[in-house]
Amino acid sequence: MSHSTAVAPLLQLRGVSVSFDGFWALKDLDLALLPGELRAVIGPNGAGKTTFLDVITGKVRPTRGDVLFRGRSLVGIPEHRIARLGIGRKFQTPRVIENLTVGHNLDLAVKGSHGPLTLLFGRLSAQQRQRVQELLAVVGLERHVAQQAGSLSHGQKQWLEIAMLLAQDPELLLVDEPVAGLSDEETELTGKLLRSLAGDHTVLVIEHDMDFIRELQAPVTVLHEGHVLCEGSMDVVQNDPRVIEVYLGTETEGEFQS
Amino acid sequence: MADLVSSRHLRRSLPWLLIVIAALVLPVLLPPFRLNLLGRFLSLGIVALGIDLIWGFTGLLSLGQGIFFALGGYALGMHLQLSALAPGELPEFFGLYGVKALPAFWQPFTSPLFTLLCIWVLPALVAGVLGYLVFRNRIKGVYFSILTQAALLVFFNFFNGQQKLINGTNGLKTDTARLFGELVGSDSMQRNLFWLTVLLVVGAYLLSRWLTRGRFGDALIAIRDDEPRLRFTGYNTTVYKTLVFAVAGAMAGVSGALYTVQSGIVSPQYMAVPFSIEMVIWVAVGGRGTLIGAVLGAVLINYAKSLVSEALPETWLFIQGGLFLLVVTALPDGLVGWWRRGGPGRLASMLGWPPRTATYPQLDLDPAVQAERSELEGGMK
Amino acid sequence: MDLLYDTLFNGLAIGSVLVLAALGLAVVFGLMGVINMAHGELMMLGAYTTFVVQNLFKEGPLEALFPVYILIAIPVAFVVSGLAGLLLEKTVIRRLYGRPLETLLATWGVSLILQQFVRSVSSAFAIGLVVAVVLGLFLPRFTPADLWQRRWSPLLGVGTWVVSALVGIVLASALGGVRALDQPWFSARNIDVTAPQWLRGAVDLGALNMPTARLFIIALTALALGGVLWFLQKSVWGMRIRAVTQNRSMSDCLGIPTETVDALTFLVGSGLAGVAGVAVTLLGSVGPNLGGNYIVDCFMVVVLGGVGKLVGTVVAALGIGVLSYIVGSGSLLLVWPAMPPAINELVTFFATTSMAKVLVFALIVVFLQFRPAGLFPQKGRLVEA
Repeated sequence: MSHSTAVAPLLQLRGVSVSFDGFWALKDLDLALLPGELRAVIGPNGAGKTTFLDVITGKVRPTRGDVLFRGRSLVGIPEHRIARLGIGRKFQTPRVIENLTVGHNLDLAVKGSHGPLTLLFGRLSAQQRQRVQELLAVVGLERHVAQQAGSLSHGQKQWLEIAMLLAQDPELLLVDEPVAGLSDEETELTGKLLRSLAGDHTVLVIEHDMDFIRELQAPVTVLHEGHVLCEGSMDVVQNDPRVIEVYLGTETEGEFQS
Repeated sequence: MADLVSSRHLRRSLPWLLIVIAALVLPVLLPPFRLNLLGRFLSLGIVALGIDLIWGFTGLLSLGQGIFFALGGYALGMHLQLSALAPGELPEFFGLYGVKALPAFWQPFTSPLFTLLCIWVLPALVAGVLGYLVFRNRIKGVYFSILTQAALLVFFNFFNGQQKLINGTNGLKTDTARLFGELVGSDSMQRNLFWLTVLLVVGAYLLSRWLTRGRFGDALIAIRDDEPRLRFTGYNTTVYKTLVFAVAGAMAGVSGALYTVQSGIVSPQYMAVPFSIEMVIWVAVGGRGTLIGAVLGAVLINYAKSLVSEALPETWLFIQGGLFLLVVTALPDGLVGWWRRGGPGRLASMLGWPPRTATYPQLDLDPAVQAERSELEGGMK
Repeated sequence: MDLLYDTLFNGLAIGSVLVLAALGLAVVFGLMGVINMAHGELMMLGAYTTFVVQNLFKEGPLEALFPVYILIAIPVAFVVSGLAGLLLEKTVIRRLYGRPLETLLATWGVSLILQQFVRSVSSAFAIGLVVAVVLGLFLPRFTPADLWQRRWSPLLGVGTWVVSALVGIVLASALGGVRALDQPWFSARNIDVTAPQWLRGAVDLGALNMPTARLFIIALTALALGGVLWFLQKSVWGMRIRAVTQNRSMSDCLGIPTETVDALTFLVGSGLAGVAGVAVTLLGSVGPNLGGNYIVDCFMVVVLGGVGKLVGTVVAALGIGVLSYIVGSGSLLLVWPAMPPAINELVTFFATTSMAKVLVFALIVVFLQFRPAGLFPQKGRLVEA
């Protein structure tokens, strides 16, 4: 994995720091994602993984530093505009609109204008409808299209949310713990899906499940106390003494056994 | 097959047929007093529909709908005050406070067209501005409710305190004014107003239904259930909330205007704090999130109120307070919601009647059942 | 200079009533996140308690103690309103934790019932009510146990209460035939509390005339504030309350009885409303609608100050008090007699109590545009709806 300087990074965080009333959730964080890359981010609890996503998606404004997407600063832009620029986010716990059907959830997310007038007067184009059908097939929810999303199983909700994310057709996918609570089989399928997305899309996965990350065969970034501890392939990272100390040497849970 | 089609056709058109029949027959059957009451309560159904839009679907509990209700009422009230006058004359009450010239903001209300626009545009504008400021700051939940209530109190105190501008606490009477050459308080005029009310309630219902079906309605529900999620999907939820709050404001204005001409007066009491909370309870009792429930709730509760107040005025507050408690603790979906979620069936099964089970056609068509069945079949292979 | 003192004193006087009224709400809303729309009615109960205590001391054996009855009324009102609040928490609010909008509607319903209660309550009414409640509680005990395991048992539960209520109503209307029992205790009219002699005078300080009643309220407010601060900061239960506010599940794990803490918090908040009710009686006659006049003001004070911050509540209430007095009295005209006619007209326009409220509230709404979390925003998580 050579960071060639010829290709401009799609996403770049430069010295990003976030302070919550004096507590620094992120400290001087630098990170760059190249277009088409698949990257895994790990770190013990409280390493700032979720804040990291919050900063990119505009939920939290960085106290210092800058976030660049295609060379353009995202700081101060409201969430919905960032989403429209092509950054999609899947949340840690599956967040689908439980009182709507599976199909309607996807209809809301599918790429296109999201203005109120379009929703009132416009109809879904044939292309959009087809995209929804495709995605239903991808995540295997075709038969549940008319079912309330709230009545889906946990795994199905995870996949519905992934489908909603794909429906947005973002350039950059931020995926927070996609396999939490999934069965082994479902985990494997999710891994395949994410790998197949890389290339066309840029994918950043946050996950606790080390087997899953190994399976992704992606470069890993380790966060610790709000900054990047080290980067590299899974094998390199796993044998890094600093990483071992962070995971095992301190009193955090021993998540880093594989 | 033809039977099925025609019966479905009948079932769909039956409610509308009933409404038309009721609108034609009731004015003949009911004495003018009762008809007038019904007309008033129906007009309250429109403000209730607006509350259902913003609360039942979008999750914004406004305790300040009285502002928009009264603005609509005042717009029409001012026009009626002016329409009865010979040129150069002033409405009578101005004389009491020694006002010699018509205040500037009264001038445009001589125009019927301006008034007609003002009845719904003005409340919509006020609601839009107020809503935008509040929603932009992401003020929501109880803070939104408290702020709308404070805004209500501001308007109430203003209208109540301004004798010289708007006749203060006495309000504006409309009974003796003339509309199209006829006395507003007359029986035939009231009958026409009843028909107009029925028409506008149906119109407001259809508008609400159009708004809540389809993707726009889905977006509103999504805002209610998980607004941040929708924002990260690329929706500017502030615009949606402002828009729907403005629509509810416009509905409240129309409702207030209709209520004013049918009760003969508009006064700051329409902006009293309790009245606006009452509106919410109509929707809650009828069933929030069900449009027909909002209208039903408004009519039923107000009808009950007028009956109880005639017989045992002292008990009404007890009953109303009890309703608040009951609907929150025992009937969170309201009457219509309870009905739709199989409440009667559950009650019947408690009493020992076997619940009606879904049989062949319905069961087969249920997507969840289909899905489960094909999953089972898949597992058998 | 005199004008400054005069403004400060009157603003402080108005503000201190607001502090006292909003203090209980700040505790309940700020610490528990509960919207209690019946807070104003708990104040009203305090005021009516004062009225009853006063009548007890007016004549008869206790007459000698009449000058200090108000001091006795304070703890009594605290207990009465506090117990009413406790009952409210145990029966209604407990079921609605985490659903603030529903709590708002339910407590509004309670406020309506309380208002009508003080209007209608007579001996016959009270007897009927007590009988109905006792019957409702004990009827299930005297019915065969196997009746309660049937399919229709929930209906039986509702039925026993309906029957008890009917019995109560019938009894009350039967007793209503007896004139002595039918007499309403308070009726819908306003009641007047006679302040003892020493609270009716005024203290003159230079040109400043300070009514003793106002001074008493300011002192009472300071005392109540000190008491609440001591309770929350120093006492064991106060510590537990703060712990539960910050992290409920953790507190639960540490063995803090969170349910008792909730009940206690609510009791203290409601009791403070009762104390505020005592103070309000000194300002003029009070009626069943008393609560409605204060509730929105109280919420504005709490929101403006910053939810969960007692300092904020105090600063906001005093600020609103001073500002309302300056605007409402039009004292700007005295300071600057030569102001341009346009401004003069504007100042005069708002120089009534109700128009001052319009301006002050509008200013608060504008202020919240810039500082949505109030003057003293709470760090960390706010009450989420």
